[in-house]
Amino acid sequence: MSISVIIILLFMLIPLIIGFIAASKSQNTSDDYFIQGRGMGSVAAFFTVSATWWSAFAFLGSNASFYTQGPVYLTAFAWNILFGFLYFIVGKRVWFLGKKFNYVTPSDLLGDFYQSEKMRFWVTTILIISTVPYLQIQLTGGGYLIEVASGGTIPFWLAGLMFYAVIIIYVWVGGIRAVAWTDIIYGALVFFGLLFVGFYISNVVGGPFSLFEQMRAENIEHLTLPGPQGDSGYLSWISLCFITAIGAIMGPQLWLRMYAVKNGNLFNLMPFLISLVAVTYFGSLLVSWTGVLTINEIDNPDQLLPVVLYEYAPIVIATLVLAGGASAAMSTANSQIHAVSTLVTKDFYQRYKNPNASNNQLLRIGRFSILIFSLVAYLLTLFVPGFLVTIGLIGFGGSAQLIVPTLGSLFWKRSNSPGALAGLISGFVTLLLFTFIPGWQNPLGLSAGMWGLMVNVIAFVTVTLLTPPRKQNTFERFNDAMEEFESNY
Amino acid sequence: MVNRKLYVFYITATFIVLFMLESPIILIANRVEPFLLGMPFLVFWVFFWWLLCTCLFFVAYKTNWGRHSNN
Repeated sequence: MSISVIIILLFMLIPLIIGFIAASKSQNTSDDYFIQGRGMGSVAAFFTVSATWWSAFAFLGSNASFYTQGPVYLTAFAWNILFGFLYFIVGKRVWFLGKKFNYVTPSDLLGDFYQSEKMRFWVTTILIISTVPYLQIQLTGGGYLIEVASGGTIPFWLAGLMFYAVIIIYVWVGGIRAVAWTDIIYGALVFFGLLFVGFYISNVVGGPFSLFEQMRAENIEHLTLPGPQGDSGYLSWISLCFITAIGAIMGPQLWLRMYAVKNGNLFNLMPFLISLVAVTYFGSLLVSWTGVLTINEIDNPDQLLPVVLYEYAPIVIATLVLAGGASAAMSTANSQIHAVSTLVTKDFYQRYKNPNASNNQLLRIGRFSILIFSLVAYLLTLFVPGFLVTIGLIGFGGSAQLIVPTLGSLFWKRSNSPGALAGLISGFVTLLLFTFIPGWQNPLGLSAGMWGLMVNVIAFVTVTLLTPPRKQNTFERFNDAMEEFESNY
Repeated sequence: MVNRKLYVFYITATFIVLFMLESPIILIANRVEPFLLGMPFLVFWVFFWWLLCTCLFFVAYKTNWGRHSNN
């Protein structure tokens, strides 16, 4: 058995052990399982938020993008700033309202604020639809990395299956606490690993500064927008930034992490930490542009990182970083599986089927929905891989639509349910139309998600102003809560 | 007490950084020359605003974003 396979198996073992330790700490309540009884510490919260947010999309996608499209992925520095800033502005208020009114899911807040059952239903439905494709991407990316790192010893279907088995077991036993603890290890490995590797690999061409000089001499079109293929200009730049940051922060997995936090001070620190870890993209930049100078032909740009690592780095380091990449995928996937199971249990099962469900019933449904949801995603990963890139765009674009009613609930007192619903649904339909109808895709080069957001905002404001305000008692309840927030936090 | 001016300053400064990175101004910075600190100009531009904003966020945290200490 090669050293690579041993390292990978160790990586699979660590989260299992952590899962069981976390389980021993847990109190067997649904609140503990879903949002850790609102008692998550700052270190765990930071790592779980950033590891959840740093997905396979970022790990593999950043390298492929710098390699083929030039500098457009540099917009990632801005999306980390935007993401951190939104986490402070939106996240802290969501955390406060969650604590005050005992919310567990996104639709708890939005459904309560807008006093609308339809709103609850659509928020949860859109979030589940948006999360499935994004989960598939993680599993494909992770399974693929394990396959390459093991030199093909572990085939794709088995890698994917192992991935699933490990996630299911530790989420099953440990809930969000197990997810957060494993994320600490994954997060640290990915951030430091990729940055270190960037500098290490760029030494092949004489270090970062020499790298830039050689790029200027030989591949100058890689240094400015719209890149060597001429297709990644300004509109790609802003689409990527806004849809990625907003889509990620509105995803159910991040939303649960706003409720789970114990101390509100963390939200003050998060913009700094999230912004700081963007430095890791610099590692991707160095690896990719070294690849541009030294690797002539590559079949699939997503393979760039493994190819460069196995070419220029010692096998142990290469495998460690690739296993870290698989971890990035896993740490997003585990949170998504956990989050979707929470939505199904709380928003559908408890709300519509069994409002008086006991703790044990909630936990059981939560766990079984993990099993079923993971199985569906695994089968989709194996049998419809071609869908991924297209549907993946819906993932972020879909959850991003929630930002409009959310900002409305936090900052616009006049906002009401007809406006929020009109905006949300018209935005989501626009996203679907501009994604799936041939010839309509991404008009003018702006992504379907951005068009969806624009339609969403216009419909939200127009319909809100044309319809009556919310009921007085709900209005006052939230108004008082926001005043309490402003005067205390 | 809430130091309103400080809070508004942090929020405004963040918007300015995002404007520098995401508004059409980026097209003016979209150039190779001059090389600054060994980096192409666009890379330097992004790196500079990112670093500035990261430092700003750190100071903001230290001063509690000009708001209450919440314990």
